[in-house]
Amino acid sequence: MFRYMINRILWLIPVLLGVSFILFIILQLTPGDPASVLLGENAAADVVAAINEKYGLNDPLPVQYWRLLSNLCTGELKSIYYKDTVINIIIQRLPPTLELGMLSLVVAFITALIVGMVAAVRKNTIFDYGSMMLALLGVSVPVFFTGILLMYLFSIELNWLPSSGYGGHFWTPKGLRHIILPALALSTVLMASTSRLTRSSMLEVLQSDYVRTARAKGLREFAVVVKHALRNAVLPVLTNAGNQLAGLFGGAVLTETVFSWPGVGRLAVDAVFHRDHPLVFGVVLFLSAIYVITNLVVDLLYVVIDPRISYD
Amino acid sequence: MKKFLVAGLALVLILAMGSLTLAAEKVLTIALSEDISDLDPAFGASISVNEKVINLVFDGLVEYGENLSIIPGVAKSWDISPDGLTYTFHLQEGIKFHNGEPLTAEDVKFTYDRILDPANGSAQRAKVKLIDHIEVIDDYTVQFHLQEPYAPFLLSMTFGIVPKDHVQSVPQDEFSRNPVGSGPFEFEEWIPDDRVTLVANEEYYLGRPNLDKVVIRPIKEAAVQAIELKSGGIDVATGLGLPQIKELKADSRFKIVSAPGEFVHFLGFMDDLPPYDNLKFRKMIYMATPFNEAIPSIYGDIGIRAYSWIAPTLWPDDTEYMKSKALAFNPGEAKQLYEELKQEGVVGNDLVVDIWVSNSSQPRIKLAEIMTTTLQQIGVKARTQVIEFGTLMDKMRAGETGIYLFGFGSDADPDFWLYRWFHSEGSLNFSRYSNPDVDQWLEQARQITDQAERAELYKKVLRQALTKDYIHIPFAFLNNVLVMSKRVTGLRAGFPGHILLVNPIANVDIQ
Repeated sequence: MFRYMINRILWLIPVLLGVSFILFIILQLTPGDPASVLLGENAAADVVAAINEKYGLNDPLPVQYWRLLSNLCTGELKSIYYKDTVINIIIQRLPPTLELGMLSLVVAFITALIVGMVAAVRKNTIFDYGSMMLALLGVSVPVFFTGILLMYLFSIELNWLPSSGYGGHFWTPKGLRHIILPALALSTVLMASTSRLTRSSMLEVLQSDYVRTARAKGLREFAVVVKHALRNAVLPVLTNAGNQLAGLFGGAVLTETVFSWPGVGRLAVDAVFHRDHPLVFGVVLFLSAIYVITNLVVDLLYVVIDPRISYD
Repeated sequence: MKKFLVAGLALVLILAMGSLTLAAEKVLTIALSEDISDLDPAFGASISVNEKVINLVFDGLVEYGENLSIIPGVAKSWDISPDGLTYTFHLQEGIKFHNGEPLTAEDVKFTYDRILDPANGSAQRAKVKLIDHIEVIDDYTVQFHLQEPYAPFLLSMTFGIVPKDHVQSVPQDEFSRNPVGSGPFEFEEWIPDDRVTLVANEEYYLGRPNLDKVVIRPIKEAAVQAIELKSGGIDVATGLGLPQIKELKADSRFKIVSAPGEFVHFLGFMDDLPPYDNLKFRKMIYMATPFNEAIPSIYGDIGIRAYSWIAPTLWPDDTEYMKSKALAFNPGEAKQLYEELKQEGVVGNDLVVDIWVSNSSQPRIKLAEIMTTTLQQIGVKARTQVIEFGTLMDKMRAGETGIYLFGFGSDADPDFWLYRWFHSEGSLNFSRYSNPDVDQWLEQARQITDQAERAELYKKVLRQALTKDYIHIPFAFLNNVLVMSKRVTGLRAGFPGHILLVNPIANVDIQ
């Protein structure tokens, strides 16, 4: 098991190398260059040339690639637009990013599991139809629109919550007030598929023999459903969540833009528009690493949930 | 059950507590459309959001006064030698930087030498590269020696003065993120993508600002800026579009402060790409597009129809003549021109006109779409090509954009506007326009100082380029629009690159 983990973590290196190479090629092929964007309308040829010299953008491609990689490893990789090291820039945005991501995952999962469970147990009732339709609505409406809708409702009409911005850590009163709306908006991205999958997975599990046995033993319905059935039903849901993770990253970009949330998703998009090659490099590789590690965590969770699974 | 009730009550209490406000500190919260990236006056100011914040933290030798006139800033007076080559500035005594150091001539010399050094790659260098050398006469007198007379020189003197000793003791990037100036507000902190906090400079030479704190928040979406304004999250919104302005006009809690602006939106032709190099073709495009009708409806409160490259608020004003030479909407004649062009072999039946526009400007995109429709109506196939800004600049530089819709803004002197765009060697001459007379007039106008004479030369340049060669069709000047809560007093619009909070003619306050 330990060996399995080490093995998977070691695979990060060739994966990230491959990503970095493809990313570098794409950046070189993209029209537009950092200097013109930096200078905007004042992009005169001589100043552009000076900036290119300053940041080594005229060097041969392999030299530039090597420089990006080596600077990344030593932590000296610097952004062209922001005048700071890429590591510092990402670290500054980590708390808001992680808090939003985790909170929306938690909200999405808890809601979806509960709703899916109840929908399966109360199959073909109003609750079933209603909750599944609501979930579908949540995923069909673009998260951008959901965000603005939530803002209008809770910020302007009801004046309960602030409309945008990061208020500090989510365990502070101000931080909590600021994170509620974006977390709600972002959670809709995962909620629909997760709740529908929970429902169908539960329906299947509830037919099985051991569930009938548990009921026959006289266990309370609550124990049967939650302690026995749910645990088995949740495996495919977990797999699905791992696959949907990329969607969560994308949704995070939109949510962060709408709510002016200082996260890594928004940083990535801004970096691309600014043609900030080193920053794009650093951020994309960071996100790739997160993706790989999260998939690893999901795989390890299987072992926790289902003792029959082992990686030895 | 009871546990849930208690927990719920606690949650509500926590949420309610968060909304209690602190004691009456005067804080002005302003929304800009983007986050800042660099607060060093030598490097950051080429990007407009940086420029606005830099001008709150730094002061220049001179400042903007009423009607964009030049008034004393850090320099209380100046003398210009008769040959226009020497400018001597006399500094106010007793001005201190935010770190307590006094502002002296050494700091002024250092500030400009830094910009002039080509290795530093400062975008502001173009405005001051005619400086030959700078001499410190004494602690409060500094002299600039120019290589040749340059009439708009004083306008370049608004650059923020930086403290020499401090800047030399910290890495350059550190100063970009932690600026120290002598302006009305001191830099306190910058949380990237979240906010910039400035506090009042207690020792400001013009007197302590009315405001205690200024908070700048980057909010990209106009719709979100409007929502924040309504929910009280911000006091001043700078990036609102027409729909939001219409909505807020009707709300009595807010006021729209607007001033005619100078930022010009124009259509450019590529002078070495057939058939866009053909004069008849350009006239056909002009007449096929209902500019006079479309501009008011597209721009509404945020812009006015432009007939020249230079706005009526600047000089030289030639609006009457330019208006008389503007080609009216005439689809019949346009269609006839199209037929003639086909007969002359200039265009073929397979002509497709591409109108290139950046995705960052909604009004320009709308105009492009209108043009596509009206061109189709006279039988010319046309397409709107909306692409991202960086990509558009690439294509413009490569000469691939036959028709491009673009925008530009600059300081008050016509040289800053016209030289770079219309001189054959101009650094922003994307249209590749080349006219030896225009070149000569532009070079001449740079060197003489008599404003009336220069005005005549610039009028000639514009008349040739716009009403004879039709290399560009300017169509709109953007108004400078600020939408703010009625609690804000004294904030005016119309100062390019500045949100004028504190200056010899302003001291904004909030109730």
